[in-house]
Amino acid sequence: MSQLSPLEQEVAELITQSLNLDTDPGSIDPAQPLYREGLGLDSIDILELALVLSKAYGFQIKSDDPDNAQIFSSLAALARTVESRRTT
Amino acid sequence: MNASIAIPAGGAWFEGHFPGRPILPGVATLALVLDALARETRYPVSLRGMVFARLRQLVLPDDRLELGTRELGNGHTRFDLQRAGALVANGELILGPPAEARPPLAAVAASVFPFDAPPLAALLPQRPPMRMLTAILSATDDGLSCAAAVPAACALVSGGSAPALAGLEAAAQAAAAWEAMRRWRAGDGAVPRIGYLVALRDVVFFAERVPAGLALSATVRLEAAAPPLSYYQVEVALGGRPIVRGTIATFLAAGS
Repeated sequence: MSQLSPLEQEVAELITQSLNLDTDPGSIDPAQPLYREGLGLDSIDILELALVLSKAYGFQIKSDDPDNAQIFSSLAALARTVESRRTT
Repeated sequence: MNASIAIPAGGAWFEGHFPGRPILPGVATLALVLDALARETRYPVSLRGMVFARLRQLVLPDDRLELGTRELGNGHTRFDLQRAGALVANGELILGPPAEARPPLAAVAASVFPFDAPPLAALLPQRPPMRMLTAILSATDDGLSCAAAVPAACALVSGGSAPALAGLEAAAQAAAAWEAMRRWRAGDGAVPRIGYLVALRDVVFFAERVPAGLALSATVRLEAAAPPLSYYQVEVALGGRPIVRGTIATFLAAGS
């Protein structure tokens, strides 16, 4: 099992809580894809997650952002985005 | 618990939902899950609420679905509905008798007539017997209040009433009508577009069933939007007493 950074752990908890995942946040592999074959999220989960992140960290991720595939590619990538874009 | 659910090849479930594009209504999927649960446990199942439900893929005529359920420690029941190994819907149900209704909300303002709106057939893609809205009562910048009724010929109805889940379909239609009115007011014309009910959260039922044909009120208020996804706080009531409250998310289909 990979060790999560504090921010990865925080984002992982936000993901599992807001999307009601039946997954222990600490057990998420930070390099694993969030989409289908990885954590099993679908495009609507990603939209929901974008909304939750915008509330929690004060930055917008638009659904047509060309960087979305990269931003949501893994927990580690998502935590890096939060780190660089957060305003709260 | 595991069970199979066979979706009919056609017929009542798909009447009016939608003409030329048969899709099982999301609330019907949930109703079939509850039916299967009752059948397998050989015990009547009543739904007190839903922590959440996600409707992830369209359910189509002739689908063969596999239901798996698991009781959680807190008395809730988690379900997964799959088709050929792919997750179609999942959620966390709170089974039990309906919740006690809090005092009724203030009556919806009904004094806003005359009200300028296109006819419902121009706002909604649902057709009888699956169209539940009967009139728009009032509209605001962030929501809509409608009159609704569950048609007696609707497939959700048996023995003169439908599961209270049907109220959530009325709410979803109110959300769709509000979005259509907003497009119409923006000058985009009154063109119905198909929106899917994709998520439900913090749903509480105050009644097990809702009688067919009686006048309901369905009120929706936009809570958040991440287009094409919109979240609404909804309440459906009968005679001023709530039937169901919660949050729903609808997804506007591309180019529908």
